[in-house]
Amino acid sequence: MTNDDHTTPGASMGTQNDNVNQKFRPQTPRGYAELCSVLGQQATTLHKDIQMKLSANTSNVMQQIANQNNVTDRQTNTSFTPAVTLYFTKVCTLLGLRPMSLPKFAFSTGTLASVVLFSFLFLPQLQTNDNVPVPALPFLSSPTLLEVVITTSEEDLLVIEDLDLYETLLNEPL
Amino acid sequence: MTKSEIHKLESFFLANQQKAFLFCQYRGLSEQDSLDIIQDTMLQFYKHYSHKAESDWAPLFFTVLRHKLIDKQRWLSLQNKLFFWQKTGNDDTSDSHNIELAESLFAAHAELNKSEWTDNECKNTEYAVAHAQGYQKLINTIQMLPEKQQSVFLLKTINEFSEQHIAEVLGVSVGTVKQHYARAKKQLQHYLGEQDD
Repeated sequence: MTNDDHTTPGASMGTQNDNVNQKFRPQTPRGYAELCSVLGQQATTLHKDIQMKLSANTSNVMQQIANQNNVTDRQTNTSFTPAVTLYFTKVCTLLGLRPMSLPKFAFSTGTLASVVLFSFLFLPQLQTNDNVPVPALPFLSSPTLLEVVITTSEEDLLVIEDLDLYETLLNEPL
Repeated sequence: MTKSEIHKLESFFLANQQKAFLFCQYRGLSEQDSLDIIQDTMLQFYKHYSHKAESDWAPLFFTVLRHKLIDKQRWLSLQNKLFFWQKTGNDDTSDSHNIELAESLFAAHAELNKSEWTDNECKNTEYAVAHAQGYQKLINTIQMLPEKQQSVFLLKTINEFSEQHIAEVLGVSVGTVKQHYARAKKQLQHYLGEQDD
């Protein structure tokens, strides 16, 4: 592509498309003045869908403003905004939340739900008793006593504090 | 606020919503982001500036809108840096909304030239699609302008603001506005293959 191609839109179409170019009008505004006129006109040629969305947007804003000013007899265009959505918007406004689009709302709610579920269902399972402090046993404070703990079962602990008894126990099975 | 004041405000919003939308679109925002920003701007304008004189409303409204756009673009830029491994922001949607912009630009071009163009050319969607590339390049050129040059150009062409009003929106002097406008014009004339003035 040459510089000319860059500066003159459509020049890269080549001679093959000359017939097309002759048949149709230039692709873009020919000069700066025409470009300005086209841009000035563009606001009126927006797609109908966009115009409807913009009107609904403004209608929502005006409804909020009317509610804040206690103007109740304002006619709103609800033809494409379901009553449920309006009610939901009203509740959000009362709670101080600004209206957001459905995908954003779904994403936020989904994230919040995931965090809550993770916190309540998975985190408790990950907790271990490793860090639970063991209460100090009385014989630990005395160096003369032998610190022996024999486990007989998971619940019962037998603490032997007497050396003679320990010797006896070593010779005789429990 | 009385009922008549609310009615005036609504008329103002309805008169400016399309221009505000185009302003956002030429700044590269997606359709949904544009609608959200316009709604935020309207609410903020009502809260802080609706008591001002009606003649000052348009520059004030676009001042709020421009600040919100700058904030949004900064946030998107930060998002792109933080989540560099995934495509965030408007990159994925810019192509589709540029096509919509190109279509409305073609419609505006056809509307202006409807006396010269044939009815078939004005309504021929195949023609619009086939030549959308040319319009998209033009849109890209406008989007590539530096922020202040772009704002001055859009406010002057889409909103037909005076230099004084543009200076108020940008918070700069009229001389600076003229300078930004001259630079934007030069770049676009270069793109259009036109001789500079």
